[in-house]
Amino acid sequence: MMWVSSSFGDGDIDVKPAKKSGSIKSEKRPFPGSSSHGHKVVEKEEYEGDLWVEVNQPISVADLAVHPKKVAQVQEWLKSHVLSGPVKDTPILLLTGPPGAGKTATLKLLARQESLEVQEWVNPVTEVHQLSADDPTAPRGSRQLPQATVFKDFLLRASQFTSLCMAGAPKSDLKLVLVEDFPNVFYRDRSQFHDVLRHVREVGCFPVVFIVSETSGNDSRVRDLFPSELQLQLKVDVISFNAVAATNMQKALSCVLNKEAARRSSFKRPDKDRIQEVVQVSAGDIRSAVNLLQFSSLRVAIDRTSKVLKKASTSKGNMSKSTTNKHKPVKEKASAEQNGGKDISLFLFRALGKILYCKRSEEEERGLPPLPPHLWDQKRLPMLIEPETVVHACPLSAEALCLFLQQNYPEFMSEVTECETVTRYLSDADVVSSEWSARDTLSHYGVSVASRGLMHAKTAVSKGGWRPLYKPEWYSVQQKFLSNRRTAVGKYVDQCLPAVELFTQKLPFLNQIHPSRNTKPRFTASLRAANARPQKLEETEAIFDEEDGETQALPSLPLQQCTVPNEIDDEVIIEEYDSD
Amino acid sequence: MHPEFVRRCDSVPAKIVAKKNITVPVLLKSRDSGCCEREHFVVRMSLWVDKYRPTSLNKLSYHTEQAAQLKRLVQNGDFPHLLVFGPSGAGKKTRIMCLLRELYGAGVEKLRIEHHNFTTPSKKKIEITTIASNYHIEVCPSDAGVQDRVVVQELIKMVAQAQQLDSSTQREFKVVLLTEVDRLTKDAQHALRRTMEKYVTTCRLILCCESTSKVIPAIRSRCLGVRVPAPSNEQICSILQTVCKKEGLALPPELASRVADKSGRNLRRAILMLEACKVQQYPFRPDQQVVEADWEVFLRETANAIVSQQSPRRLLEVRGRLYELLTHCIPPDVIIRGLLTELIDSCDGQLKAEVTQWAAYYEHRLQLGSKSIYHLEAFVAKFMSIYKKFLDEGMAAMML
Repeated sequence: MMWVSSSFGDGDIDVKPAKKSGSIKSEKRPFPGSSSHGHKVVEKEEYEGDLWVEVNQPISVADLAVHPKKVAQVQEWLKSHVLSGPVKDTPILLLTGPPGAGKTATLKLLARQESLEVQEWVNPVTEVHQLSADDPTAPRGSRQLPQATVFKDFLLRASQFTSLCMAGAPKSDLKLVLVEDFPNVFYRDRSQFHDVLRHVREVGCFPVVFIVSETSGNDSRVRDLFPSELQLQLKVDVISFNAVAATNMQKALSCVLNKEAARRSSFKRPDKDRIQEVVQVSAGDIRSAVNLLQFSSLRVAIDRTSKVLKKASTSKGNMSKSTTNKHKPVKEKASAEQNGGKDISLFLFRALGKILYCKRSEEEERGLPPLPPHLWDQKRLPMLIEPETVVHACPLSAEALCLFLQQNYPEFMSEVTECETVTRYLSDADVVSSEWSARDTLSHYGVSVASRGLMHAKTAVSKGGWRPLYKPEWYSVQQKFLSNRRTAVGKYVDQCLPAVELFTQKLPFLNQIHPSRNTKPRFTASLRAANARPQKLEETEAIFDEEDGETQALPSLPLQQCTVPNEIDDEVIIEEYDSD
Repeated sequence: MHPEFVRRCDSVPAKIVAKKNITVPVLLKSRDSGCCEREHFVVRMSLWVDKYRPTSLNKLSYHTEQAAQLKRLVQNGDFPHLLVFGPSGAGKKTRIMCLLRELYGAGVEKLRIEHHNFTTPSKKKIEITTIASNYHIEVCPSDAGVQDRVVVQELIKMVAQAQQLDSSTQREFKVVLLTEVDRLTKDAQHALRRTMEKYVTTCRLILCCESTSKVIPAIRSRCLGVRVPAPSNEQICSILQTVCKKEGLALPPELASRVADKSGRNLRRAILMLEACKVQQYPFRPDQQVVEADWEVFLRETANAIVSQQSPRRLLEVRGRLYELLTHCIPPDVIIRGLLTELIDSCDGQLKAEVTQWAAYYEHRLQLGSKSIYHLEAFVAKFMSIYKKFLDEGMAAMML
């Protein structure tokens, strides 16, 4: 028996989405539908080691899981810029979107349809040259040009000249330069890249397409590599892809399964629940979805065999799994994630919604002792979700999440007594999490207290209807407070007054006595104006740049006691011992 | 002027207390950023509060006995560390400045503003502004937040190590005036205690705070405590009259007593109010409205909004107003106290106790927590809920 065996049969275990610079692209990612495709099908009929992602590349526009509008956009661009023949200024297209959204597939498919030649940049393999360049002992051959230069050469040449006509290769006058790998130098030194781009724009005549994957985090790659002024200057067209929608994904997956079933007679289709789960777990990443599907269908087969061995009652097999699905959704989901699903971070918007709407199940939990009469008003139906799982999946810090909850809860409460309960718990949470020596541990408890308190306080199910969510005002309030304070204190140093007295006693009157020297902003008089709402939270917004508030607040020195705990960091502790 | 004092100078106007409304060039030297000498011409803004502030112990208009005692204390040529405490607007600072003048002469009134930079052992930069004369330096170490210990130590060390220029004609020590001592962290207070002992030969400390309850006993016992009680309403009235006489204005006694009443025995506030009244309307009328601080009016409106309706929506509106107050740098504990006084007026007897208890509870929370809005809002919500319950019960009783 083998200790380690590949889960994909005896093929390579290299899971697809891993992009390695240096590995030869065309091997990993064959041009879809290139003549070798049909070839493979015939030759390796029973061979399971191929990745489905590679084998089952889409062959027609209808196969694409991408939204038709996006496909049309790309097609339009190709028509207007490429098919019209070599042009003077190199048209540049930038495709952005989350990984696995089908950017590359769309482009390559369309290029093939229009029989365009695609020339792709692949980061060169060896990286040792930098060191060995001035090292005489190094072998001669290892000396190479810097990557950036190579890239520049490639881009200039590729965008100016057609490739040589090789025997057998389909000859076309039109071609496309594709850059998906960016030499690492450019991430460090963007201006270099920008210079190359400008140059190419001037001299090139074949269109250049850049594909940049964005991650959900605050990834600034697009912004760094293609800042908006550059986009304007070079007339870069941008088409941004969204993550693949669930329905499209489902269609694509069943399409892949159909193909697989046609390819291999022994193939067992995974059941519907399985597909659904895959769709859910992959969070709009078609590549990982197909991989996961392949993997999980493999598992089904293994499960089945093991069950056959273990149990005599084999009749259930596959079915038993799908029935258990319903009962233990949480556990099942966990297993799917183990099986290589994406680690989905809930969008902030949805995370907040889950806590604020607080859906409860219809029926009571059985087997619990009844509450004593004096606690009857505390009785609640079991919650559908655990707030901790939501908090865990949410990419925010505990502190920031509490602020979000605090900002948004009143809209969801019908009674002021409920608000009172919420605020009490929020107050508790703040006290719990601001004990600075134990902050790291306690902040989780803090957010638990806040979210559970909020969910408990809500007695009535919120009446349907969508309510907008807002970003917390606290950070901006804090910033304004600090800047007001700094300016005022700076301006009236000569008043020899403690800050509190300056603000509560002298300044207000100073305003009235010398209205012309009005330095203090006036109170907005009306209730409505004071209640000017903060920024709305966009649905897709995953990361809230909470740093803005915090980092700007930190460096300033004069602070009142309300903000002091914010400032405390580990440094303080150290410093206690190194004096006297 | 001592070079030790001047670390860095900015283009912040220097201050001249002694000669009001006169421009005087002040030379500032900088050690760190090479030698740059600048002259500042400043026109002092003339508020009555500053204009009629007594400058010598003889001219103080109340607590005269205490003033005489202080004078005797200084006449001996030396004095211990002082801890001056008393409510806001009682005249602590005035007395301290008078004392310093008694000690060093008119030179203490030539003040300059200095910016000091300190670096903590953990390489954190602290910038703090001080006001100093040749003989004393005034600093509010609590401006440095949690790093106040460094400021206390370094500053005193700096002052104490610099010798007086001419010790034959002058006192042998300088004075460091620390304000808001009650806001210092415990750490800083202990540091202060040690430094106090170490440099007792070359510098005296005058600590100034509202209440000694937050000052550690070790410091209290090392200082001579000087309590400056708030002036009585009559004393305030007579001072207001004196001010008006000097300004050449006629002040109806009714208005004076009403201003004194509104000021809450805070002389600074009383004089400011009087001047604001004068700007608003002169000649004075006895039934003239006394001008209040804008935030107090705002706070009252907020309290009214809370009392008039109790709903989540109103809570949201009140939150907006609380934020407004916070951005105007009104400290949260002042807000909660102000709200309480306003709210309690519209409460029934037994409710008063309950509301007060909750206010105290949430003010305590405020000190423990880090984000004031949680606790302020919790207090408002608590009040709303109590008050609504009270109203509902009242309604139910009426129906029966």
